[in-house]
Amino acid sequence: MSLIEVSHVSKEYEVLVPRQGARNVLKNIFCPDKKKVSAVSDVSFRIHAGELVGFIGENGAGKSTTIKMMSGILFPTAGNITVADLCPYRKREENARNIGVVFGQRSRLNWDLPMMDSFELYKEIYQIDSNVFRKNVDRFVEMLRMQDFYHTPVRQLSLGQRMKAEVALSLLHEPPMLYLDEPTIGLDVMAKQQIREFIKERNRLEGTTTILTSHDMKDLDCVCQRIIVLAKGSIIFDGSMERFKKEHTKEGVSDIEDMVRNIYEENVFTENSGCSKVE
Amino acid sequence: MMMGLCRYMGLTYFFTKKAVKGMLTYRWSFLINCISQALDYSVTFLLMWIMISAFEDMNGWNAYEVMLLYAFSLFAYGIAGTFFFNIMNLLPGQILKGTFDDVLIKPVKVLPYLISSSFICNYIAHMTLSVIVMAVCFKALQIQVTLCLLWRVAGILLFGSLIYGGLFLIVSGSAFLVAKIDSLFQIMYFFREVSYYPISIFPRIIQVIVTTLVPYGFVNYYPLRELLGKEDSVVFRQAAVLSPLAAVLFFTVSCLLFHQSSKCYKSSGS
Repeated sequence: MSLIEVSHVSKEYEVLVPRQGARNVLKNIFCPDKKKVSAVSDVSFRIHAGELVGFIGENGAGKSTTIKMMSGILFPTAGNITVADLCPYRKREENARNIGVVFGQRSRLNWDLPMMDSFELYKEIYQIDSNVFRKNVDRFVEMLRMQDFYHTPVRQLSLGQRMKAEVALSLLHEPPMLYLDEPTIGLDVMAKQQIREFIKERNRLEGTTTILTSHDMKDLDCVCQRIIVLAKGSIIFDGSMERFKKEHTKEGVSDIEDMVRNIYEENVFTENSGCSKVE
Repeated sequence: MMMGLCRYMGLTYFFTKKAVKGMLTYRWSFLINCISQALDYSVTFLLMWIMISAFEDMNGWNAYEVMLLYAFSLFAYGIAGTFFFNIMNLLPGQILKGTFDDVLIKPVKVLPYLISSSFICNYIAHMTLSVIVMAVCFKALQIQVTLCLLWRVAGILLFGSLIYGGLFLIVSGSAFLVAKIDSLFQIMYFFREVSYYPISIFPRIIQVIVTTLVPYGFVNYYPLRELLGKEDSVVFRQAAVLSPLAAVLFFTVSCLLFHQSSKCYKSSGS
């Protein structure tokens, strides 16, 4: 029985296509041309409890959209998702207790207050037991070395310090699943390393199933056992890190970053030959 | 139901505590804000009083009675604003930037959570000012302030705040559909100005609008017409009795509309 089951999921967005020219202004307002853009098409995968899975893909490949559907933020256009026996977008509230989510490009911390205040607020929102809360805060502060900036208002923290606090925040309620969407974006080597170690540590100790997206291949290489490569909304590789490396090691290509670039470039070709998923 | 209510009241308390703590870093800004708001509305009161005393009366309503209309509207607006204004203020930005995601990934109901997290105390200024004006007007109009009257006033204000709350929700909810709501915001405030005066002085079409589409009439005009025993208009005699019903109905429909609109959220960013 797998923890996360995504079967034949597609997500289409409707976008307006403005017509050029002054004559078309009214037309654009009242009956605009619409076109469907598919963000994710016919994606299926299963994730078992305790796995560390990395999503790889160019910007716009559908990584975030997939994570948002698994979090219950977006409804898929077609297909089904089950996360720990729940349908995330139909049972959003229940599902929210099972997941911790970090969007690396945003902050949920209260800007004016020390991070501890945001932690306390989350304790209330997630109704976390006081003992559990205390235990987790102490552990996280120690593991992520947050002692020095623990009482500093968030607006005076560096990006790395804020991101550590974000990751800790998302795990306070001990969710069995953790989705991290670019948690290491813009961080220095040290902060990245500490966050990677932290994720691995949580996985080892608590068995937290983790899905990680990143454009830093080192993150994925260091943390993930399995990777899923998305291109233009479809899965083009799903398997262990070792298999990925073995299959894509060619002459002169031994670095994982180069392998991924090769895959992206191959996909540009298919687009030019008319196989594009965008209609 | 009761447990849910307690939970969100607790959350409101915590959010407010944190918000106050955060505000203390900008305490002057908070104070100045309160003072400027109170000044703004006092000037309006003053102008209105000057205008009306120069004109003697307005369709049978004297200066104090019209000021009562304003005071009731302002107080009800203050109650509703405490819970809903910040939703209307912040939600469009959250939707445009996609940060509304952060609400959806929490184990909370959307609307109660938004209310708890957007609760603001700034409207104390509005409410204090309204109470002072009400006291002055009741005295000038030689209306005995009995316990019975106080209950009636409380009822009118409560149901009036439901109407305001409903309007706040409709305007905020439409942000899910059209992203920018500045113009709807304007319409809402335009008709609020209408409700500062006895609506019988306006053309029939406006009277119909403030009774149905944007039912400000039920906030102050209809209940006060009954309370003060005015005969300026025979239109819709039963309105005062029906106000509570109208308010509850309007608020419920607004909540449902908000809920439905929130399903159109498409997220964005990252």
